[in-house]
Amino acid sequence: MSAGFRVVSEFVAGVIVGALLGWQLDKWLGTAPFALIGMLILGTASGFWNVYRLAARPSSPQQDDGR
Amino acid sequence: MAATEKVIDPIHQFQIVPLSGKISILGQDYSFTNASLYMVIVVGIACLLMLYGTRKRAVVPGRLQAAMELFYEFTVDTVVSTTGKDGLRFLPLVFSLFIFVTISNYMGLIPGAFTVTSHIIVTFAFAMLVILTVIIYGMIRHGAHFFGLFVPSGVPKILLPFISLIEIVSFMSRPVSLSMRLFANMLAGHIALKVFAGFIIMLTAAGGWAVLAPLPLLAMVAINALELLVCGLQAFVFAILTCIYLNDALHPGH
Repeated sequence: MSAGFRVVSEFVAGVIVGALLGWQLDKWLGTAPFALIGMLILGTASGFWNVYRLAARPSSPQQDDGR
Repeated sequence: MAATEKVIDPIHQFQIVPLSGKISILGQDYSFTNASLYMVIVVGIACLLMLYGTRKRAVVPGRLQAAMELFYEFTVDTVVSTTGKDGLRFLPLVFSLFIFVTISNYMGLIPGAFTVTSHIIVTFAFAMLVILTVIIYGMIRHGAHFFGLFVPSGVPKILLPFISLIEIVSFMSRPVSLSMRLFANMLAGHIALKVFAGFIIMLTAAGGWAVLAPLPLLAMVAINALELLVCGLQAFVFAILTCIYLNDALHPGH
């Protein structure tokens, strides 16, 4: 349960941070919905990236050496 | 009538009540609340356990001293295994966070007690402390090389700006996920406990249905056991993730 909860929170945190960044950028720059849309997509991508890194951690150092 | 006064409210336990008069410094409210009281109690218990446990410094440790040594050595092992030997300079930080979170989690299981870690602002403050330590220490130790964290090796040039942006957002999401995990676990566990306790009262008051009342009581026992596990586990997860993030400050770029 702990591992599952960890994956969920990593993913959700990515989306939330993306949304917050986009919202504040919109407020700051006055570009109505575009920063929010862009940052939301980026945030979702980084959420997936977090989850991917969580899954790939044990084997990633060896792969880097092989390059 | 009385029913409106005695309504079962599972959220009520998280309410912050000022215990002292209003103390405001520079327009901010610094009143001494029940949350502050429980933080003081937690720190007091941690200090007492440690000082009393290591008071004799016996070669053959007593029961309490053995427990404290176990706790200490466990933290040292965690730090060394995730960050290496030079991570030991962060041991005081990790150990303090670990013992504070552990004791406040377990304090919350005492009926009627207030759970400090069930407030997101508390866990978020811890997470920001960790992340700011990572950033500041990484900048001092490695300078501009620290930002190599955001530029993974072996990525095609066209994709690099995009990947870096994703890495930056993912780095910023760390304090959020770190604090949210601990806070959500504590909140959900305590609400579940209160809701099931409410079921017992409702069923006992519901005439013939009272025969079913022992069922949620059994569930309460099971959930309490689960909460005992979750409290320890979440404190440990918080500590080990702190170590993993500190590892980035010590050795950026793997």
